[in-house]
Amino acid sequence: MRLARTLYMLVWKDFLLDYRNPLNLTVLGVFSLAAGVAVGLVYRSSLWPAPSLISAALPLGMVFLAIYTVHASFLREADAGTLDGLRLTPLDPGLLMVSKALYSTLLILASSLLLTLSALFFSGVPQVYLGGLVAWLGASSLFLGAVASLASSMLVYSGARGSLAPALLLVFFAPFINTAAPSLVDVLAGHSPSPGSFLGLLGLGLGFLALGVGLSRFLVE
Amino acid sequence: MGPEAPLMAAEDIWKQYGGKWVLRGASLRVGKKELVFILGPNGAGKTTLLRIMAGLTRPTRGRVTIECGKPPRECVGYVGHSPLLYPEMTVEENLRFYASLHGWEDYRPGDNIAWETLGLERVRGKRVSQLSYGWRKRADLARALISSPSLLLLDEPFTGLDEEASQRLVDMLQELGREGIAVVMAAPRPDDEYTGLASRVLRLVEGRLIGVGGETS
Repeated sequence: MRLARTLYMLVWKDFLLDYRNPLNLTVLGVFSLAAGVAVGLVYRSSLWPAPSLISAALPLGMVFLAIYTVHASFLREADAGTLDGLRLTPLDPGLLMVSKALYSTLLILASSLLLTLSALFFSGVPQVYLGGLVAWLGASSLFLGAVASLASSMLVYSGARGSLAPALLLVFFAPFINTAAPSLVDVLAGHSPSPGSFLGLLGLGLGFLALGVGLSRFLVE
Repeated sequence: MGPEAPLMAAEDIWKQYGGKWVLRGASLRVGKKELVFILGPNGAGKTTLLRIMAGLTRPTRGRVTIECGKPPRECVGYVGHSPLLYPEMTVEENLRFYASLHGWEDYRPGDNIAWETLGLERVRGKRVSQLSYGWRKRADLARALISSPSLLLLDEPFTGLDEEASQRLVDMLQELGREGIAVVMAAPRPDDEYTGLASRVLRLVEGRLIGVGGETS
């Protein structure tokens, strides 16, 4: 119970910071909406089938969203000095890692839903397996949220963020592009995603989260 | 010389940054209720030493032990140069947030020893970003005292404070002394008004702590 309350307080605090200084949320929202509208309108004026077009655009859009949340995670706390404040409390670093991953997941999920729905609306795609799509977005957001938080924590004490960040993100996000895009084509074509690819994505997300929790004592302490 | 059963003992602390030794075997033992002043010019290593004692920075060599009957993180309060508060949150929200991390679910800011002494009621609902540096520092002191620490580490606490705030801080330090809380304070230069409060005054010279009488602490 105490653990759940602490987790809630940490996520609520991150949301409050973004709500009161809404640059992050505005950028994510405007990007998602603009990308969704652009993909939808391009489909209308092209010969590409919508599933292919959206399947290519959505994972790339989500990776961008995840890169953005890398800053909203540990880096923001470290740059503001408040990470020291958290380190002076009895807070378990693993729980802090989970809270950062959870908040990143929620941000990515909300933004990618906006992107996807606007793309579908403007493209006029007739049938989409909505349940499958939401499940796909959920699993993808969890993967990206976990990876973004882990990458963010690894960059906190680095003096070479500029060169380390792209290398880290490239390595971490490669499995996502490889696993996620093919199953998204199925979903957008009205089929349920193949269980293997969906479970693979979910497993990778949980795996990265577990890795982050395991390393948190060395990365955050 | 420190007391026989120290609350905090920093033994032979060495710290290197980028090939330069900032601390070279600094040692300090702090007993209950003590108020220790550490003097030293900018760059002498005062902040590094306090951060090591707070557990925020790892020493290259040496170790710090803290015994207060609670987990070490509950024993120490730390106030650095920059307040560790969230600018977008109000003073009260910050204190409630940090209190929740310390396990206080029904925390009332008024219970904080610093709340009344430092006059924080006036800025209770203000966002930290709207406060002057002096008020942020006062609010940060209240944050540091949430866990009811046995040892309070203050890095140049009078910097940026006006006369009234400085007097309030002096009052609070005296109250902390009455409550039995030990304080280690760093400052760039001696100030009779404040150093007079101290039970010991030390200087950080070439990475080592030297007593004002000349003996190594």
